[in-house]
Amino acid sequence: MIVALTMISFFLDGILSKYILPTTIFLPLFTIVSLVIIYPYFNNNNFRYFRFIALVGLLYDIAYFNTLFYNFFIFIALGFIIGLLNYLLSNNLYTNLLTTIITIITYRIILFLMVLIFKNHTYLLSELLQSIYNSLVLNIIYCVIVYILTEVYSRKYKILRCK
Amino acid sequence: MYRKKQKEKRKKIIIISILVVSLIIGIIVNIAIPNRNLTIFEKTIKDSILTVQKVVSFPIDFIVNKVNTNKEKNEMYEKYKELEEQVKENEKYKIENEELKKQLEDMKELLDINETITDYTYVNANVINRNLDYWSDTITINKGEYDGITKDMPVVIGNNLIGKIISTTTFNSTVRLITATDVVDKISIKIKNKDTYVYGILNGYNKENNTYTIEGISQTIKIENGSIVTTTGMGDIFPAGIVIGKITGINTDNFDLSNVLEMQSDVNFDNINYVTVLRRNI
Repeated sequence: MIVALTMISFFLDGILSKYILPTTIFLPLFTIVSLVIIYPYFNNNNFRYFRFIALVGLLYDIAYFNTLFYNFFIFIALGFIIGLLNYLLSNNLYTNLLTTIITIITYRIILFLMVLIFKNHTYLLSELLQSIYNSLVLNIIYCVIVYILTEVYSRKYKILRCK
Repeated sequence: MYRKKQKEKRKKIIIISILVVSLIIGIIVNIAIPNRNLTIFEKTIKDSILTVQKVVSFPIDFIVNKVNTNKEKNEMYEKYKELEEQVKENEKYKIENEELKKQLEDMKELLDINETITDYTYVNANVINRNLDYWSDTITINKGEYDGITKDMPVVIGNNLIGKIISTTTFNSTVRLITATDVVDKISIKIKNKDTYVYGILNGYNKENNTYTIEGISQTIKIENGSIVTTTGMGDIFPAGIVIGKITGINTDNFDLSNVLEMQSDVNFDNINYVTVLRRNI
């Protein structure tokens, strides 16, 4: 289930990017949402989780960014935040939504900082806020749908996860 | 218990080490070598992922195309009337074109000038996906090295320049659009000003107004709004004569020394599904 969910999210990111423009408020970051949803299914086996998200980050780099070890690094950093939030909060729909929002904001901020530091161009803070705002709506909806689906599936097939 | 703690500690150290190493490698690979070629490993993985994506997206593309086709069908009669008028015009241009072609050949021979747009073969391609990174403006197309596509080839829609190839795999290529705000390359352009050409440099894109900035033009030169902007062919990447857009505004720089022009493209960059790569004839 973990792999299937991540792969579906991964491909949806690529497919929808063709139809959804960066200027709209429906920017997909489904792979990142899936990283939040799958965390409890690793049952506190953080090492396995980090190995998995590092691989997803590397594939994300190669397929969509033409880069190496860029999203790889960001995904591992996000993994720390997801792990910490899951350690502090109990696992339910609302905390998953909160974690998704925090993760997306962090992802956008890290990308913004990297672009700002390393690219020969100045970007405005308002552009960062716009990119965060554009990324929230669709991903929150996706988070709710995927959370409900995984809940139903894990109950049906008695898949263990940490609470 | 102690051993378990030690094991956990070791795992944490491994994760942090991977993070630090990946950050360093990431910076070196992506920042220090920004125009690097993809490795065979990357090309193979990218091709495999995009092939799966093409298969997965087939039903979605099919539905979207059907909807678009139906929309176009409804507008067909009006388009037909428009085209009928254009065909009449075309006859006139055909004769003119033949004459101009002959003249161009003579001139090329006489002046030994650079490549022009006629020295290129058109390779049509479909857009597979757009950039997921908010800060760069790229698209991925379904033609790659197998179709003769190489780095730096210009990409157009109709006769309008939209970008250039920045990386290729065997079956796919990535195009950086000219709307990208992180573009380092400046494009040499010329503006048709009555019977003469004025030369300048396309320098950046303004997201808010959807306009490009053209610099390097003396304030003494009067340029009219609506003037056509084309590539000059200098710089060996873009051939001469590709339309980029039209002048929509004329301002001066901070020191009142030169003109800063605003240009708008005819291409709708929000809706790019099919593009053409200009492949050099070798």
